[in-house]
Formats: sequence, structure tokens, C-alpha cells
Amino acid sequence: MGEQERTEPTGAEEAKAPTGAGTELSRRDFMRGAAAAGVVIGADEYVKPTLKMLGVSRLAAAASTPPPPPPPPQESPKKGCTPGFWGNNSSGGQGGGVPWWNTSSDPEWAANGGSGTNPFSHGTAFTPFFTSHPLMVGATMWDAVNGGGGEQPARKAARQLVAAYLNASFSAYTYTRAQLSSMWTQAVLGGNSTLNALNTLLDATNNACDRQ
Amino acid sequence: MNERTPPHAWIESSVPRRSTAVVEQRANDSLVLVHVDTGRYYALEGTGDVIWHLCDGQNTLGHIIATVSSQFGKDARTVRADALELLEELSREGLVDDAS
Repeated sequence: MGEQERTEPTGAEEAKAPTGAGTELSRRDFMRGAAAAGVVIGADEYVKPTLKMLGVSRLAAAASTPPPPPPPPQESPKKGCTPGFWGNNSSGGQGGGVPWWNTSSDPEWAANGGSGTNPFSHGTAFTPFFTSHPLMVGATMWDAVNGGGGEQPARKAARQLVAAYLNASFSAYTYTRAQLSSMWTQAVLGGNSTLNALNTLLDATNNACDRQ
Repeated sequence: MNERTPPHAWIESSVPRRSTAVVEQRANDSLVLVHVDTGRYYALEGTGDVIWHLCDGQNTLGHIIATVSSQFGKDARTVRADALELLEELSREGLVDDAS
């Protein structure tokens, strides 16, 4: 639509450009300036500017997915004991570390070389000590560390988590207790794939200790 | 990712600035904006693309209104109202901020 087709001549326009030549000059100057500034000049017709949200791209999913747990350090990691050591082992017997944390401030913890006191005992509730997960509601630490973990990623990861936390509390370990709590939270937020990753990661650092 | 920026009080001396986290792509009659942090994507229609490109962190809102008004021969009052409405949406979505 050209200048002559406009239906709404304005007072401001008339005051600034009383003649057609003046308007054209001003317009040319504007177009040059706009082009220099990289402005894309489209149709001359004024159409109310609007912003419409079209949706959320997969970028959002990527942005909202928590980062995966940190990889194990390159240098020789400080490995810990298995869930079977801290709970019932896979052959049905009790692991060697079971009596070290069955009560609060268990004397056997320190007697066996543990640092400080045990961070929790068998009956301590998993939640809210760790971030809540629907499959862990009502579970104790003992429940979490026993039973092989089953097929559910959350249960498998929780089993490794409790063992890892005990390892980190007992002596030097690959991850600190704060890191482990954070890794669990991230895994819960990330869903099953992240929980599986956490399970794999902690399984690798819980698979060797000289106490079992 | 539901973070939205609180409403901003735009005035004539405000200096709107496009977010560096936004990429744009022209599609037919609209300009598609994608906020790479939130993943939201938008269509900027009408004279929105002209206003968008004038939000360079240098032009004041007053200058933008005068420029659009002059370019399209639209009265400044209407352009001002439309530009304010658009800027409020853009800033709420984190697509622009005020560099002043």
C-alpha cells in the first residue's frame, strides 16, 4: 500500500512533511538509515505489532533436564563397600557392616574405624533425609539398602545411594555426602534415565572395599 | 522453565534491548523468535519486527515510537500504545530488557 492509499493521515505527519516531496525525502532518509541499521522494512501498511507464543521447543526440555551426575575422577577413586556389605548380601546373609549402623551413634561404627558417628541408623526414614521419591515413601534406610533394588530405577539408585552415603561417612570416598545428596536430587528430577545413570555410577564406586 | 520477568515500567526514555539469548528467523510474514534458555518460541507479527529491530540498546522508546510513526504514517499515540503493549510482552518473556 502506498503513501497515497493511507486512510489515516495524521496531524504529526502533516506538520513534519507538509509536501509530498518533503515526505519522500524524509522517507528516503529513513529507509537509508533503517537499512544501515539492519532494519527489515516490510510493507508500508501499519499493522498492530503482536507477539504470539507458538510453543516450547525441545530446547526447553534440554534446558530443564538436570545435568548428569559428575563422572568419576580420573585418578584412582576411593571406592566403598557394596549395598550387600551394609545390608543383606545377595547370598542371603548379612553383610559385615550391618551391625555398625543399626542404632543411632552406634559404638561399633567407631570401633571398626568409622569416622565420627554413623549418619543414620537402620530405622531412619529415607525421606526427608534424602529428596522424596514416590517409590521411597515410607521406606527406611534399611529398606532402601536391602533387597537387591529390584527393577525400578529409583529403588536401584536408592540402594546404591544409601551404601555410598555410609561409605562417604565412614571414610574417604569418591563423593562427599553433600555431593551424593545433590546427585540423588538431580536424578529424581531427571527421571528414570538419570536414576539409572546414578545407579551405574555408584555401583562402580561401591564395588570394592577392604572390609568385606 | 516457567520463569517470567516481572512487569517493567516502560517510559519514553527507556532503552529497550533485545536479549542475546534470542535467535530469530524470518518465516513468511512473521519473525520467529526462539529464546534459547527457555526453549519458548514466538511469532512476532505486524510491525513487531520493525520495533524488534529498533530495540538495539541504543534507541530510546520515544525514538522508536517516532520512527515507527513516521515510517508508517500512523499517529504517535496509537503507535505508543501498541509499542508499550508489545514491549511489556517481550520483557515479560525475557526477550528484551531495559538498557537505560
